[in-house]
Amino acid sequence: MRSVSSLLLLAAFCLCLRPAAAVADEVVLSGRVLDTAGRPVAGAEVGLYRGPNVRKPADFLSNRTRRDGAYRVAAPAGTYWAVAVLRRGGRKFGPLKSGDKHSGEPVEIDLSASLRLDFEIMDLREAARKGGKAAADVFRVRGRVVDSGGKPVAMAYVLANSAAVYREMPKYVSAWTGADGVFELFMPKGRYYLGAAADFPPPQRRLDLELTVDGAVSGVRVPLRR
Amino acid sequence: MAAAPTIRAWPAVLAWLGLALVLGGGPAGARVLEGDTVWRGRVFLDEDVVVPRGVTLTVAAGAEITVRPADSTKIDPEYLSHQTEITVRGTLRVLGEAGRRVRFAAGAGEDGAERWAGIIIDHGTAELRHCRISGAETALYVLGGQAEAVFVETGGNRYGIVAQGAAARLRLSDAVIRDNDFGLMVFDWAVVERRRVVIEANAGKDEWRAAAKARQIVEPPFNPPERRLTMTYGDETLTGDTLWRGRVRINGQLKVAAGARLVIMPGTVVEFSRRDTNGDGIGENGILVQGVVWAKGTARDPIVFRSSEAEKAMGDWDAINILGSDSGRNLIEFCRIEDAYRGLHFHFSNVAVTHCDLRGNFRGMQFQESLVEIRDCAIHGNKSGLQARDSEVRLEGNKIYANGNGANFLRLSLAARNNVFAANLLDGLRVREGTATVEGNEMTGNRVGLTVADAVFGRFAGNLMAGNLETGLALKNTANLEVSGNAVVGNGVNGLVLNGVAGLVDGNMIMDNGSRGVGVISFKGALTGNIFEANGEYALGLDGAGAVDARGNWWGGAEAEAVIYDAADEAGLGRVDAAAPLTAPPLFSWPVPDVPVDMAWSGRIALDATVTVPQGATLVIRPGAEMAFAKGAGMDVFGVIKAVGTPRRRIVFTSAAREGAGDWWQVSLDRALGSVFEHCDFEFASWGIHSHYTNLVVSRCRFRHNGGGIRFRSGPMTIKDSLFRGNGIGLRAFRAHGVISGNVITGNEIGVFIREQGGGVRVNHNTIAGNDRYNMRLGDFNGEDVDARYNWWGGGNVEETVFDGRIESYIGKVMYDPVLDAPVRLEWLDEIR
Repeated sequence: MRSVSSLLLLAAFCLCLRPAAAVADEVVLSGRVLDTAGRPVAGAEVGLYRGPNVRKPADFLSNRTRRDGAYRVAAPAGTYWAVAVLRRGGRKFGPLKSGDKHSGEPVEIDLSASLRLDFEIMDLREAARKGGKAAADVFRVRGRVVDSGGKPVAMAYVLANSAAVYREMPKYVSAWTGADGVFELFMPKGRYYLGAAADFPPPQRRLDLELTVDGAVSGVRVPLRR
Repeated sequence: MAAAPTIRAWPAVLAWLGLALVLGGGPAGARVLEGDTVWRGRVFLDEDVVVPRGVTLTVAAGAEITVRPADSTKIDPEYLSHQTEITVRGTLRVLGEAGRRVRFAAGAGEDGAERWAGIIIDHGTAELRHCRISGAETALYVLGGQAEAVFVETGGNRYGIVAQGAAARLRLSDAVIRDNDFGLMVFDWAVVERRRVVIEANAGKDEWRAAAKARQIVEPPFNPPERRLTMTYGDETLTGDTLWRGRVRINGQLKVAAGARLVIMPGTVVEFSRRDTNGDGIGENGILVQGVVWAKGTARDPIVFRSSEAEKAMGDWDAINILGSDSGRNLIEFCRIEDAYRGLHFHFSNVAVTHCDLRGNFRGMQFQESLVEIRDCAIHGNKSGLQARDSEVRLEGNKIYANGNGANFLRLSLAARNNVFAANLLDGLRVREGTATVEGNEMTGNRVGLTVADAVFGRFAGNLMAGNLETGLALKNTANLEVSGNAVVGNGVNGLVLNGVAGLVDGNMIMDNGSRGVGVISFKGALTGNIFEANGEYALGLDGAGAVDARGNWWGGAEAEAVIYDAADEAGLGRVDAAAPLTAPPLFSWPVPDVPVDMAWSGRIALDATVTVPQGATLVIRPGAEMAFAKGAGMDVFGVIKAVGTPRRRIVFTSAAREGAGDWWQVSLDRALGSVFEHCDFEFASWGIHSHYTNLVVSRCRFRHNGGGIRFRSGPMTIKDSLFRGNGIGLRAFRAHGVISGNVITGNEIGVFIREQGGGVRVNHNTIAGNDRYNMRLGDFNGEDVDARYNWWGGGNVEETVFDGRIESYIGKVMYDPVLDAPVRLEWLDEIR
């Protein structure tokens, strides 16, 4: 299982301290705003807040990032909570809307001296992916069990094995399908033989659909032969 | 708070606690008291205390109990609240005296937490004399059992006293409930006796009574057949592949080693004997899977996990524990799991749980750091249904009901769709932190339907929160959530509560909530496009100093100022900007397949798929409402529907397309006793109404441009003073009983079609004229004559406009004589023109 200590601690990367800024009592927080692939994000802003309540206009706000994702915000020395936000459509204020991205829980920063801090921002879907709990070396194989007419089959399941013929039980089986016929298997890389069944234990001992798993697989259609 | 152990290690941690433990002047940690206990002097509670059945906790006069507030997620199933609690399942005796009162108060909180949970009587007994309880969420919460409170004062709590459920008995005398947010709450027919009780100066309400309206769920009976004992295990370990059939007895802790696989065949019964070596009342036998388990039952032959004891009890055995099993997927399917401490419990594992029935456990299911699919399960009658943290979860099609707590999630990546959370004593669903998509779910009859706290990502859309005792949807410290398209209706106190919320709340239906549609403590963002109607005191009530942007809402036809409580009503409050109110209710898409509890509809409702009113539920449709059905959609009514409009504010059942007959299906009634349609219009349906075995009354309705107006079987049916025009068939009766009178039936292809056994239908005093093929046609299998006297047939030869035994000798006749000499008119039509 991939160890992800907290789903929404999405910020705080590449932290390194630099000497204090030249202006007395004023320090600078700078860095880049990145997407989940580590690419710079244009159009984002970083807000500094004097408290953990970030559900209000920021006390200090950075420039809007350009293509290099760089931001810079100056503030009196102190402790702040920081959030990076990307608002679509160039809006400056207001609640986030669908498609907007942000960095999740505010990051508490001791800004007694200038420092660099990169933020990773994402939307809901990306955040959900980030929280995935599948083992790193096991891949999700997803598809449907279908009948001879290609329609989804409920109350069936998929069997998978590294050899086409098995003795009592195959190496992998899926859960019973719902009305959509969707199944999921979790398997390491390799070459497998798949089949579908509607009874347990499975009536057949031979599987005839070949599948190579070299990463996540979707759209597999496994016919149920009655 | 210290990290909780992953597998139930707490009995060992607490083993030092002996019988008749006396605490005086020291700290008390989280514990289940294992013997009679006395508290004296100053006692500090860092964590929860449970007084189990058979144990008495006595608090001596003059004692001062200081509880450390915490807002953590509790791991162990004994506890009911996420806050620090004293839960009584045995006996609590608080023996204060005049001048030597006992005090329960909050100390310094953890992580900013301000309150402790309070004293919870969970089917225990409590006697409280001369004490004061403060700083609690609920000072005294009687969930079942008996409590007597004499000279008790509650103040500075969120709730003074709550009594909930028919099994709760509370006797209050010489008590004072003052300066709480809410005073005395009596839910679900709890019995409260009062003598000389002062309830005053509570900020929200002094007293409140409410009864939950929850979806009625009946599980089919299930009695597994007797199985031959095939295997018995003690403390041992399985390696390799093991396959179970028949009946398996487990008298110890059975391990499935890493790399091993346990396959449990359909119909297997797995029984655990009770072994309680530390005397904490919880059995220790169970299964620990570090390899893989496939418990793959079938609908016909489910697998059963239960106690082997003759007198089975909750907590007789430990759990099916799955640890570090993520190299494939564990399967728990069509399993019935009961009498456990935790039915299912897994960490760092990949598990699918489908079609299972988890009942009568301390906790149905608990997991963390796992990848989990939970689908089509029933989780009910547990102290808590489902608890999880730090996991990726797909939760779909489940019924989580009648538990203490429904589902409680912390830091999940959650996709929850089409679930039912019903009749749970506390939260239906609670989501804290994490990333959640919560769509198409029903939350009915819980104390709070859905609570979302400390979340910055999430979509909460298209859910129904109805009939919850207190609040439909509570958001606390959230930002950027999408809260849209929810029906938040008929909740006891508030529909929606916004506390420390930033975001967009749009397109929700917020109706018929007891006190406020939306209660706002603090909110930054936009509240727009919502439907506010018929909320008890205010559509929107503000309790904070900040301004609220509530432009562009429908205020139920009222002046916004009249239904908003803000700075205009009380100095110090913020101002609500309700500019640009909508002049008509926006179209609202009904979000779930059912109308599971009593409720009312008004405004414009879009029905994208067929909606069912189940038996036991009543749907009232208010005057002026319009139901717009998508292609093929309709309504299935097994409960009651009462659609009573007025001449000026008719109720319309129509199609979204408004193109022609057959655009939408029908309103189908089956034993929908007591249903009524009055001043309604049906148009563009396959059939406007299709009624079976229902004593339906239809009056002053119009049926136009449908495949058929009304068809019915049995009855007794009353159809009167209505217009049937431009339909394929105006009315169709099949083996029916009823009266059709005072109607105008004209311009249809066939006016009235009596298909079979028409002798029970009387068709009198109508205008039946000008229909294309027949004014009345009797079916080929109708051998009975039909009473059709005193109708106006258009003044010509009646027999030329009817098809009956005069044409086909083997069918009955339309007994039309005498006829009226003038048409029956619908005078009410003149009123609406």
